[in-house]
Amino acid sequence: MDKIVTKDNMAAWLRSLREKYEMIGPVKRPDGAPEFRDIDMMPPGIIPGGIEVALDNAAWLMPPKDYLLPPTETLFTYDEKDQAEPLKVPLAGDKPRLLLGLRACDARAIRVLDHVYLDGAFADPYYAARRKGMVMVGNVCDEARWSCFCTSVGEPVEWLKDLDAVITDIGAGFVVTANTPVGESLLDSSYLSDPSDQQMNLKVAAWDKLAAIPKRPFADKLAKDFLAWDDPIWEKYARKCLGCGICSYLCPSCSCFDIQDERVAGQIERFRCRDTCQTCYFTLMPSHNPRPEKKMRMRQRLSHKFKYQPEQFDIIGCTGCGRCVELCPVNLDIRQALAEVTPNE
Amino acid sequence: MSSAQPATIEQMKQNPYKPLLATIEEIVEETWDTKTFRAVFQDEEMREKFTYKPGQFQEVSVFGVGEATFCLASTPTRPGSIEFSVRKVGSLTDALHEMSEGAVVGIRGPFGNWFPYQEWKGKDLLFIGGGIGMAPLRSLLNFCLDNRDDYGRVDVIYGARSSDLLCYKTEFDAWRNSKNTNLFLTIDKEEEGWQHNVGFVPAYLNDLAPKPDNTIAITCGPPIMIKFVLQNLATLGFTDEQIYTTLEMKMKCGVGKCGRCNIGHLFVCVDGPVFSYAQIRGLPPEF
Amino acid sequence: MDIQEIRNKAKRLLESGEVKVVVGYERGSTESKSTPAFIESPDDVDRLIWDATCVNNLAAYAIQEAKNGGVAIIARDCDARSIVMLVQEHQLDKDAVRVIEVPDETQWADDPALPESLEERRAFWAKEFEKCTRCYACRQACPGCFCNTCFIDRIVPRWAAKRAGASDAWMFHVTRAMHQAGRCGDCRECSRVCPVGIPVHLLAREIETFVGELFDYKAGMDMDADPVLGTFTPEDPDPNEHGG
Repeated sequence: MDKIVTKDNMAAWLRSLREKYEMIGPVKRPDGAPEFRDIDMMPPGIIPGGIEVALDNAAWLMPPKDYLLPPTETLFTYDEKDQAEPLKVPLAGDKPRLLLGLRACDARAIRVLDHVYLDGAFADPYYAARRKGMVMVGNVCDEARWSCFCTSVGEPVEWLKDLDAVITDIGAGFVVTANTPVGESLLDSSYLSDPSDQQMNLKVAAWDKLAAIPKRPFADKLAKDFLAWDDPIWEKYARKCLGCGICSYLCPSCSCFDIQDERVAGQIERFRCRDTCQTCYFTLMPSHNPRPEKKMRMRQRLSHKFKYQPEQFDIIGCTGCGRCVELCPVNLDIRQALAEVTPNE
Repeated sequence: MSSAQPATIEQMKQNPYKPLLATIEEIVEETWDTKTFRAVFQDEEMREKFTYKPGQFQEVSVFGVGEATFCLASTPTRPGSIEFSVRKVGSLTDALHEMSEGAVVGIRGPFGNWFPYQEWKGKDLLFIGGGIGMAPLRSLLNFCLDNRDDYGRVDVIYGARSSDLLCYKTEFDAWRNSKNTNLFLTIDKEEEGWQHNVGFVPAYLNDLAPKPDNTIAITCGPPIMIKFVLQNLATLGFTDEQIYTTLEMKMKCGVGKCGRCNIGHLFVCVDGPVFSYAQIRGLPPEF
Repeated sequence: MDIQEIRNKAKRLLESGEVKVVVGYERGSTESKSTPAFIESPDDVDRLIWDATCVNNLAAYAIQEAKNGGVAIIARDCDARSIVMLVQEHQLDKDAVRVIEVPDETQWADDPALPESLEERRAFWAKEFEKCTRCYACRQACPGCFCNTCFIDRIVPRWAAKRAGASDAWMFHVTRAMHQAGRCGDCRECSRVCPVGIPVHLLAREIETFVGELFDYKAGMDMDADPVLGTFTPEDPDPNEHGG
């Protein structure tokens, strides 16, 4: 289902959705860079028009995973003095969340996270509680950033279909496309009307433009078994790796975590927090460390996304969002590394 | 394999991160740095219903310190409590070692796969253990001895650097006295009063030269021991499919989410810790 | 500075066998970026570039590269101070490292103005630390952070939990800054690499100012000088009696 909303009505429409949902979207920080945050927290008036809420692809953006996997999350508290029920699990909030401003790659990343956190014998209850009832609204990128490569790892237009609704900027207004019954319910608003054929053509053109982003030289290698274990690129590229975790902390689909205990205000809290395979501590055991060197850790990260996750879930774990490319302090560009890989026979 | 663990699986499926509370009922000092803990669930129903399979592991919490992974060293054929052996190697194991009987711990599990003991019915079993690596083997061994008629000859080769580093000494007689069961002990260096073999486990294995026919070999111990045991088993004619071991990797969640124990497309906590040598050969050499 | 001059120096050092590798900059994966280059053959020196995109402090690679033999590092003044500091701290053999000096033409970003009052400054940093993702990129990029195991990664004792949020990040950043006393050459890599824009370098700069006032010492100026916090004399000033 498609509807059209004028640029003037966009703000009013989004505001109306806030009655039902806790709205999270890319809001411009004072320094101009957008970040996903609770739109309710912004002072009234600063909201949209497609302006303060950044629905363009002009700047890199923190990934939306914070809202499914908070950087730090309490798993339970343990109170030694409470004899009856020492162990308590925090409850999730009940107002459903609407994530606004997701790009195709963000939608794909959430698909990857869904596999990791919901598949298998044990679903993750904390993730599941947030994911259930979460409404996802995205937008179509108007152009590729220098760091992006979504079309090299998949079909972003198909990824958009994972969203409940998709907003396409057609210049004079926004075409809003509902993919799900929830999406359709969002469109049930007096601020929206039926689009003309011409408007629909503009929407299709925008989607086609997304699909036509040129592929990178490595794209044709992305068969399942293209990363060779002993490829010299691991050594070559790891040499300049500083071993910080930026690539994985800011990756929308990286989701590994640590679990720790801490005493807070007389209570014991067990929490989980982000972790990264890029540090030697990730696999360090008292007896030995299976991945003591940088090159092994770099190989693990790329193999996990381009080889292991395809084998495990039949999905490439990398979404081509380009954050790791853009933010790596030494410009270690995984696209160059992948282009240099000599595929297995 | 059918799931015979409704109560715990049910609870763990609701929230695999929420431990069950258990009380330490008994602590056995196995060696100077290793203790075996027997824990009893506080929930009476869980005490009855908690079951598991040999080879599976659990996450043990010391609240306020953290959690660590230990294989279940007891056998589900002796229900009512569970046992795990702990070698002092870090902050969590230090905290466990400082605990006294009556202390409360948290238990999550059982997690992971198990030895395919049902497929091994009618076969001879060869256990090859080193040091604390005997823990998962002990679970399977006692399970098999409790179902003695299901299996053929059972040979146990168990070694340690010295006699005082052998665990489960109080059970040696019970193992020896079981029907068609042999216990072969070895230590690295001569000791006064030692009446068993002297030499490394892999060498002793060669001396004993067990026949591979209709036999499954299960080995666990220090990596260097496993390396040579595997070589020697191959020389003795054992195929990769006849050899089983457990892999040790850093774990946190135990349910395939946190990413630490990832080897290739497998997770040791979900797809392991039990692997045949044939499976291990197919993995990236990163464990 | 003329790039050819840099390339010639690199070439001479490699040809003479004085060093095994020259660490410099080459064009990155886009025009606006450079990336560290490890030049091991005199034939490859033409890969080296020197322009406004060359911003990394390459001294971060000094210890790693010196392990394989002699290393020459292209360095601005502040980067060279890191190298001198590493020699002073016995992390680098003086004979294993050469510096190819380049002028500091970096377009430094303006520093945020710190509030005057202690309360406001505390609030300023609380807000900044709230953003910290604990990726430790600041530490990884810092030549002064050469500890084999950082205090923050220690489990026994554990100094701070690994949670995001201000209080544990505070512990990390302030302690790290204290450890930089007498080691920081103000290269500002910590702030440049921070993915969330925390002006981390202001902390170490404050510490350096303090060290300068107390001990009349500037980090990384003299290879033969003892590190300021590695020495003690009964005449040392008492920081508690200092205005800080």
